[in-house]
Amino acid sequence: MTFGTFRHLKSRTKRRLFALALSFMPFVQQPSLGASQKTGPLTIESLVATLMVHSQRSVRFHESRHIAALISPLESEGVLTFTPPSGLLKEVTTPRAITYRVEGDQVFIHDPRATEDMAFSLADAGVLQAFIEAIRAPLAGDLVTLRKFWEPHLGGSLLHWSLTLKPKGPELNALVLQVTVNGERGTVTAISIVQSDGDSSHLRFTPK
Amino acid sequence: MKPRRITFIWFIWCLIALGVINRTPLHSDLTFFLPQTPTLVDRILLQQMREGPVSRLILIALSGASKEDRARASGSLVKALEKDTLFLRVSNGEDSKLLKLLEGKVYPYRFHLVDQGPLTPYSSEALHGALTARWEDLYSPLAPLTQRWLESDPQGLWTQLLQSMIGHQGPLREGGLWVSKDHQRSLILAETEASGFDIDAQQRAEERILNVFEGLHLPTSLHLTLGGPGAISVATHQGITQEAKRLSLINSALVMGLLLLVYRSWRYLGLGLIPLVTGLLTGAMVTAIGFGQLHGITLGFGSTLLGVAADYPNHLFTHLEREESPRQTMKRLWPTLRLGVLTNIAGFGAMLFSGFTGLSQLAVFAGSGLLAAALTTRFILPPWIHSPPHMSFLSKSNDRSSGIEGHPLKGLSFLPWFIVITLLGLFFYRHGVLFNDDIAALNPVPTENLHIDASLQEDFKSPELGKLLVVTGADQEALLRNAEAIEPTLTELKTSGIIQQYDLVTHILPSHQKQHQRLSELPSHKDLIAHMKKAQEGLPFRQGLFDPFLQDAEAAKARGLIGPEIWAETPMATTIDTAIIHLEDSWALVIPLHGVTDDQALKNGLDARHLDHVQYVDLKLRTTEWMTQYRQEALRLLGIGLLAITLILWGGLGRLTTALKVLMPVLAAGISTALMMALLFGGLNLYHLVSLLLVLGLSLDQALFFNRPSRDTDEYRRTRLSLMVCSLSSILAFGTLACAHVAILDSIGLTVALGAFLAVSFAALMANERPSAVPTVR
Repeated sequence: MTFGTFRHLKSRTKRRLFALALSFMPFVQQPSLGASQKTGPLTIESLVATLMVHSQRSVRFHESRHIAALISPLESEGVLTFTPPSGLLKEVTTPRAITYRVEGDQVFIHDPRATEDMAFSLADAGVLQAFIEAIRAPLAGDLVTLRKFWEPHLGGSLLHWSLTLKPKGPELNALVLQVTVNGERGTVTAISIVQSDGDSSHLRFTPK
Repeated sequence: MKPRRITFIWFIWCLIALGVINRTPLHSDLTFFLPQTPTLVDRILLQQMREGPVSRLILIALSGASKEDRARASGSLVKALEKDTLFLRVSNGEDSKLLKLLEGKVYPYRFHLVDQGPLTPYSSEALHGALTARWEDLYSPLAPLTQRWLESDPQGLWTQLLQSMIGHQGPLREGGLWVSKDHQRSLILAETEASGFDIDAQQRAEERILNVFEGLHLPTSLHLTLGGPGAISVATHQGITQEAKRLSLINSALVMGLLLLVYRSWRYLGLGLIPLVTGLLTGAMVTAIGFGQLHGITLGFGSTLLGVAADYPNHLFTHLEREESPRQTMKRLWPTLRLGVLTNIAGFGAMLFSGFTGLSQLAVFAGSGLLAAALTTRFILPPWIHSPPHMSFLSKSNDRSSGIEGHPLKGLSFLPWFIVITLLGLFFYRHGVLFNDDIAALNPVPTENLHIDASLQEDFKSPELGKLLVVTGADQEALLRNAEAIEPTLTELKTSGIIQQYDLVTHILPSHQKQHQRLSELPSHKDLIAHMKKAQEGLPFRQGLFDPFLQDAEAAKARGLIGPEIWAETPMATTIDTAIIHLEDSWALVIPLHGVTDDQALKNGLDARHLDHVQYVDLKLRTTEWMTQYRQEALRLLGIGLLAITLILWGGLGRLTTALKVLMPVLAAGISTALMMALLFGGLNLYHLVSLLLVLGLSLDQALFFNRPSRDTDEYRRTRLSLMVCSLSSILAFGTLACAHVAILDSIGLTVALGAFLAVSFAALMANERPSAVPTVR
């Protein structure tokens, strides 16, 4: 059978992309007294500039997912790494080891239990790209790409800011209500994602 | 009978022949090479090659322009072609529709379709295991892949089924659409309604694709490339036709030039064509009537063999004299001509009794064609000749150089044998191979097209039709059961690395027995509820979450068993159609094997298990065997033919020594040509062999005329001229073909041109030197 049914499944099941994206969302910076303090009022531009300047390599994450099918949330932990300009690495350690890696346009999944690694193109994955860019674009200072998928609203002060991302376009809208990125100065401290079906995911970051 | 009446009869004859030929279907497949009673496996292989889905696929690649342009063009092309009745299916990888279709029609039957192993799959332990696995799956970012089916399929049967259907993953994807490995081409797969061997239908499909593509008004930098067996046949057909047309224009001009130079008359040129044309028409008609069909290869090879008939009118024309009526001249020549025709027919006659349809068709075609050509020369031509041609060559012929008076070639009669022995020495020294039975050697596809196609096939990751298992059974149910019975063996072979993959159709079409067995494993509704309740203990799944599963399982019991119809409108329908073959009284199922690493281990593995109803077939090996059998049969019959020829010559010429004298140059020329071709081409293929038959026919004719009694020097000179004209036209006609870029044309061309040259030279070298010392033909 030459028709890759498995593939249709992937392109069709957008929630999978969403979930995959979740795993890349929680990127965070080390607390730092950034240069942004010098600038005037808090804008998305200045925040992104601050994040970019202070982008650090690695951070620990704790993820808690609330799924309607389950009576208790799913908890997981691991390390998240950003390698400028476009590399993201999520290494889950608990409950079991598995690695997700994005390099430019390519996504790789290494599961020690699987017989072989999985690889696919980001451009292939539709909305997944939106989620990756929600994290990657600010860190890379790429507001143009961020705004291609999301409509950002910034609230709070530099000390405790909150960036709300509203989905653009019907595809993304059908999947997600909103993404909230919380931070303190040049550091991302938490990310919350609320799905349209009520399931949600919360990530907290601590220095490594 | 009056000449007018004979001409009238001839005219009607030709009209009837045209009518019969017009109504006869022309075949063009490998049946030509098969024995009349092929084995079941042979019939299956043939069916696969002819009707298999692989043969019906057109591979379409879009290149140039931008990525977005290609994706857009790919979408519109598919949309337009999908509606077309010429195509069963068109896809560019975007098949969300397919998944929706499968979910609607097949999902409810997942309990019938999926094998759950030997353990009791619905016990609380087994279900607990499945639920634990689902819970772990939820941690994965890929969880939503299965999450949508979590509630109704906690066992994960559907995912398992979809994954087993992947088989060979198709091409790469970009944005959900198929692309080439370098991402520079968008790919589309179209499956035609018609078989890949139906060249006309394939050409229509191809033209439709091109028209639709033109009609889309796409950027001009966007290019379309077509591949696949159908496209290849079309390109080959066009290539050969064009090449043959071009070359036949050139060689007709050359031969006509030669004949005009000799006869200085358009009338003779026209008359000269009549026997050949009559021969072709008659040959085709007789074959069509005798066999009810006409094979393309018979027509091609048969016409080649009829090349001998082109010589007949030349013999007549060159011998015409003012003092004698054309009919008298013809009467004088007739015994020799008749002997030539009879020996030729005898040569082919043996093939008539062949068990191979192709060989007997060829014998009938060539035999009846030659007979008709000879009779036309004998009875139709003479009344139409008013005055002998003015042949300036004769009046001022250079006697010395043509060796008539002094016969300077005398003493060189050893030369042919010297050449034969030298070639034999060279052949053995070089460890030459006499025969090349690889069917690929007959592949008339131009190399350029092969390259394009190979790169497309690679991008599409098309499965090659190479090695397979053939399972047999009394009916469809028995067939499916037999196939299911080998699955454990196949799994073992796969585990031990002897094969990489196999496509077993019972994964999507289980036997009724298997379906019954799977359904019987489902416990009662009450029990299943209890088992599920227990299975959920210790896991965080919400109560009542799996109610849809409980309902579906209960509903499945009430559903009937599945047949091929649930796969209608999906690519799996084609998979089933191809895999299960119903031939008159027998049923067979084909299991394609991929990545066979060790043939012997595979055979041993199958033998050791004493599996009935299973045969391992290597397609390439089998087709080579067909060619070998065919060739051996042809050669055996040719041997008998030669014996018959010798006997006829003996009878016709009166003495065995004379008969042998005629035969010697023929054999020497045949052997030399065969050896040279074998050395040049690394073995003789079927094209060479057929060409050699023509060479034998031509040289036999020439040797007979060379040894024919002549009344005087003038007559002897005329015979020489006649033979020069005949061989020169053969050499010109076939020499042009030798320049062709298509394997079939240049093999035939070179063999006949060389053979014709050697035939006339050897005949001249070994012939009698004096007109007086010639044998008499009775």
